[in-house]
Amino acid sequence: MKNESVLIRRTIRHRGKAAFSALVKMHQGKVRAFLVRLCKQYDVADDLAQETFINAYRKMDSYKGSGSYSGWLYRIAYNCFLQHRRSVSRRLEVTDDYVGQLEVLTDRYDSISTQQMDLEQALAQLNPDETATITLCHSFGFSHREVSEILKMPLGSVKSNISRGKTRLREILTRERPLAAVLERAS
Amino acid sequence: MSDNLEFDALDKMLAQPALIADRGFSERVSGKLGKTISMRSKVFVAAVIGWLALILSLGSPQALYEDLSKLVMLFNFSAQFDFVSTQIGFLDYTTLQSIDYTTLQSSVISLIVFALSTAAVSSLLLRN
Repeated sequence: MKNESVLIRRTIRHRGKAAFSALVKMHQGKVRAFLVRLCKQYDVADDLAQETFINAYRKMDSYKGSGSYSGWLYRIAYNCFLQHRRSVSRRLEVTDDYVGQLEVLTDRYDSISTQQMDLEQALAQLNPDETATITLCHSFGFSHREVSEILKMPLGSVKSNISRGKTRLREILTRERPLAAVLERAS
Repeated sequence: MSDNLEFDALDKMLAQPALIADRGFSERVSGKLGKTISMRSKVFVAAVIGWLALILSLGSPQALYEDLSKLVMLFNFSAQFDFVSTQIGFLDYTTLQSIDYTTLQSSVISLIVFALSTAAVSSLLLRN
């Protein structure tokens, strides 16, 4: 993390591209995984991730350093996703909650187990608020309060989204593949 | 108890997210950063070259002031702009009478100068 703060300082003070590129390398795996879970499409997620990092570079001066840098990045990524969703909804007059199926492409990951593939497919069936809160809280380790700040969502909504999402995940994993089998593979 | 165990297992699964491989993504983003910077530079250089070309075609920078003052005088500025128009008029008052351009030509030239100057200053002030 000390390394990260040095890179952030260099980017802000000198508009250092090399320093920012190192930051991109450091965070791209999680930011893209977050966006894939939200959009359910790898190419769209990559476009949004690019937009996220370019916006982050432009707005680097506005990063106060009070919260974590990754939290600040996820906030930008989530805004990019919301903007994308609005434009898609307008174009296609889609009124559902952007819930869909994800065809997991194993070659897009560093490594992915069958268990993780099951989880990604199950997460794709949740709504974006449930997916975002669960991912930030349970996969990336942010507290409920931090997730509330990142997503600009009331704390109560964060908690209810997580609770509802996890219940649905359990149902999906149990229905589609008996959870016992998933757990067996996990152990 | 069984439910708790299942939830614990779910938490364990969630805590091990599969991360997307880089596969040149960072380089692509870095490349885009470079492009936004060079675009800014290009706008600045184009504006400056355009401005210089305009000055050369008009003969002297003094003529630019003259055109600008004509544009200012073309409009019926309210009192708050009187000071500005007076200042600009003062700069070239002595040469104003010798201009051959029509008002329309002067206005067009002044607008071009204004656009070029705005582009040049914006390219310096705006972040990528």
